[in-house]
Amino acid sequence: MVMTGPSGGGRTAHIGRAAHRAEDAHLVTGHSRAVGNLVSAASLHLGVLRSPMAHATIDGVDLSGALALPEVVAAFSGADLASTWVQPLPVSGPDDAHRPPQWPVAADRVRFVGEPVAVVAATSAAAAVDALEHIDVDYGPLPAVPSVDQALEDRDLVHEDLGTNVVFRFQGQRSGDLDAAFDTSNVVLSRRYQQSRVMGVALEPRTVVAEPGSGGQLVIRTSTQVPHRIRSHVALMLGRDESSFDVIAMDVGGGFGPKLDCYAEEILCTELALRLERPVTFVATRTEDLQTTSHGRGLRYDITIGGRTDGTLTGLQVQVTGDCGAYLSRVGANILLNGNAVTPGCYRWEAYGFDATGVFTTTVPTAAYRGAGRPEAAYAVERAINDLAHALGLDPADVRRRNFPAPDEFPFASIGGMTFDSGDYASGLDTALDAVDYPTWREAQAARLAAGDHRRLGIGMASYVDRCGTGPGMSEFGAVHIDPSGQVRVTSGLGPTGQGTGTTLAQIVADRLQVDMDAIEVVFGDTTRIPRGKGTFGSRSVSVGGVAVAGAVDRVIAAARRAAAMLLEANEEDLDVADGGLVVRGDPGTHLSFADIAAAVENREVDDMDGLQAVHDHEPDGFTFPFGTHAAVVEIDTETGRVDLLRFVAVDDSGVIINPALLQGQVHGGVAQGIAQALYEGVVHDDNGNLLTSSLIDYLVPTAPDLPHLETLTTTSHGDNPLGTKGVGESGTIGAPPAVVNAVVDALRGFGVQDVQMPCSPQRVWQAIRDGQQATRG
Amino acid sequence: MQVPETFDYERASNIDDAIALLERHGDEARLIAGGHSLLPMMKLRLAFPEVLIDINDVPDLDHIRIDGDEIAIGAMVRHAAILDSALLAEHYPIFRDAERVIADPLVRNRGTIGGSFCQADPAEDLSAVGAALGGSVVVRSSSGSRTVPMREFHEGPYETKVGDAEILTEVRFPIRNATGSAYEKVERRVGDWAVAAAGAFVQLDGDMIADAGIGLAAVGADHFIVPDAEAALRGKPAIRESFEEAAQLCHDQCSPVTDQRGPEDYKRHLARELVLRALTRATARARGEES
Repeated sequence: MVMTGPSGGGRTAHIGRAAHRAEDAHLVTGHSRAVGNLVSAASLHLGVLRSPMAHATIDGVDLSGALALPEVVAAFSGADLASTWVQPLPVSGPDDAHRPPQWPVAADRVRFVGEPVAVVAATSAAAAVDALEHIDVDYGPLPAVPSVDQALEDRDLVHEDLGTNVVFRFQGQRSGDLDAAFDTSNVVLSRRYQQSRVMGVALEPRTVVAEPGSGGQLVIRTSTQVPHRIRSHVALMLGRDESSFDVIAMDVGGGFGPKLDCYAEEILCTELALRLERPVTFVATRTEDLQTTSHGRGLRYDITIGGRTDGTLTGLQVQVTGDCGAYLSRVGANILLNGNAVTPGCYRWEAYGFDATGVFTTTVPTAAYRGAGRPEAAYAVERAINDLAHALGLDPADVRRRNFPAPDEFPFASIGGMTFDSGDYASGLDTALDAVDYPTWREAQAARLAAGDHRRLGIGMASYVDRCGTGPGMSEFGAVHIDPSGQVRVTSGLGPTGQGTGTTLAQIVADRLQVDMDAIEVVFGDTTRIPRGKGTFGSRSVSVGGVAVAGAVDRVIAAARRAAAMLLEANEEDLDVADGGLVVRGDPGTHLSFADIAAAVENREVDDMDGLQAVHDHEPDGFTFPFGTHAAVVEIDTETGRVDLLRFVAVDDSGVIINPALLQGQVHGGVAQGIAQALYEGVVHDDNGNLLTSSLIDYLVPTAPDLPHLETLTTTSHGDNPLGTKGVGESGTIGAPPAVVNAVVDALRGFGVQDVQMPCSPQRVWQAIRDGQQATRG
Repeated sequence: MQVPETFDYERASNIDDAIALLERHGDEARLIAGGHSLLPMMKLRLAFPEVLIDINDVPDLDHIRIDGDEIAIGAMVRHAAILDSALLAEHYPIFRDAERVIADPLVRNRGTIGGSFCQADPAEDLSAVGAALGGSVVVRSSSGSRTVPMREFHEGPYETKVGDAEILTEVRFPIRNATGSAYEKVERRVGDWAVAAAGAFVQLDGDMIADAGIGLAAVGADHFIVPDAEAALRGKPAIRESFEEAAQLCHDQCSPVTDQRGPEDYKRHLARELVLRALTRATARARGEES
């Protein structure tokens, strides 16, 4: 069917409005439906005994001490449960990738600290914790392999039977003639850009309640971005029909990518609830969450980049080496492979080559984290362009500007193999530099240097193009139902985790129906009420899920038009949407509200209609490509190494904006997470593979006083879908890290510094200055 | 769930009651005031007290007042009250400097000066402040009160002069003329423990330094002090060269350890830099050039 575009003159009451979040009232008045708030007193509590060793054989598990406790209802080792699993936890990746099985509870060998070794079900959460101290496990220690460099030596193997720690080697894009490009360059640099390993610290840790429900169905309430996927994975692993389970996810307190996967505890609560015929609850402690929820990033880019004295970019050769952790996760390989298409960024190149290698280490598996491959790529290429500009003696802004495709070149075929829909990349850069007052800071920077001030200034920028919606095959479900009271119920297959997606979808619907937002209820995250859904990830909610709902509304309007034409004895073409209903053009007295029409339909006054409702699955035929430029100004105390972020300007083009306040919220949150990676957060393992950053004392999530005032601006192009939206959820984590680190390095060039690894903590900055000075004195 | 092991709980109504409870329950009992050190350790199962004796109801421990020629601070005074105290800001702005960088408002609303001193964490900011200023600590038992010089109170990491059935009741600082004080800290994130921190107290006699105190946190200085650095300042002109000499002695004589907050050489460097800055600011304040 043909969908109408964004509503035109006189009908734009809702789209583009900073509507208040409908999600907030119950959250801030103590009525959150977070899983942990829905635990019945009858529930048993799952305790998981986790490996304290990064790599060891399991030589014996003695559960008798735990089983002797009166509060313990059941206890199992990995061996006890091994025959229960029909298949291991789900995996995907290149065809030739090694896919060693990961089981919910390890039976014979552990490969990361925190891997489950035994479980108990006890009558209280405290009793479950106590019971774990009464389980004895004999471990046979094996060498830990906590780093990529150690893994690549292939001396100690994470999976002995594979004979190697290399998960896969992927040969990607080969475009243009790299040798010729580098031969005709004035400067060719080879640099390594380390993408630090981080964790998606959600406010709500992973939480599951599995509860026997009516009709033999088991209800699984879980904190996830992908309820339908959880249902299918649980069914696969337990060898049952999907209809045996109803997966419910409401009021999820943050996802950030790690909640895209099915975890051991979701399977375990379900299996134990089935066995014991009682509800079983698991609430991860913060430490469990940090240890066992998949980590993100953790890869390195070895880049060779060429350029000419006029600023022309020539060749880009990329080798990515990524830490997959102890097992390949469902999306772990994709994070590396995503770089193939997106690493060239928003620039013209003459030649490009990409290869990727995945590596096993004795650490928790890595998977998607806000951006899932795009921030990694943008960081490397944006750092490299700054280094190239420095080597060429050019302003990094000029190098970027020179190599952007012009607005009239869109759709633009990128050398990475994608065709960018629309954009004006130079205007994004210029807007950011104007807003931050670039020339003035350059003058101030020179003045500080001349005065010998120990507080140096640095200015950094990063331009990016994102790839959102995740393309063909990634459809989304939307449905709209209007009842005779005028209540509009919207159902969506998305799995929002705090974005305000319900408000956004309600705006789209209200705009088309010309009804009040109050009349609209949006339902997510219930696999019984919603037949199918992919979930929330890849900045796809509005450009795919929103378009699905818009399509469903348009179908409802079409159905209402047909019904109203019969009721009013008018021609369908003569009916206009007006004031929450339909009216014969030029005859206001004929107005029929959608409630009236729904009532007539339900009363069978209209033939062949079964309720005023419609479903629409939207499958995008391509990606959307948001873009922008982020700019940062830092002041560095070169005696203490402290970095003070003085200014941060984000200019993002996300296509048509449905709700500017929610969009700004996404940018603020994403930028904060990006700054966090640049300056504060970072996973640290010791040589034995212990996670040293296993609490929020050591894993430094910044809070408001650590962050500057964030200045956010938008430009607006038009996405290639009926709403014209592109996506914004991951822009901040893409733009902010390279902008901030480029600023840090810019401030320290005078000391001979060309790299500071993330997070640019005071000690790292101080060390970089000292190393730079020593090398310069050399 | 992060839950402590089972423990008993007693609530003391006054100091004598608290001391009696300590005597009754022996060395497996722990006092709890703000709880921001003890409770996390219990939840992480790093501490297993059998009995907690809550002293939040104990009266007469929450004063900040002038008592003779000293300022007396009750053991149950919260960090937030220290931060807000005009009396302390007037005499010793080092408290305001330090409290601004101690944890966050939630912790400052609960944590107490007595708890901070008795926890004796080697990175505790208030211990470094106390070390810089000197003064004394009042400790009470069933046989009465005794006064311990501030610089003898801490015996090492997590060890103090407070015995099993004793309670720290008050911390006292002498009031002196022509003084200035300041605190400088480098942390990884707002509210974090110090990578390194330095407090300084300076008393001037004209252009000369009549007396000085330096307190160092998180760099392994015994009793949080470097006596040689202070001795080097006394009788010297209050100029940068004097401060640099003292700062260098702190650099040389502290003994930091490498950890996640930084390598040993970086912490030594910070000790020097922060002592230099704290002495400079303390002197400016003594001269009335800075508030």
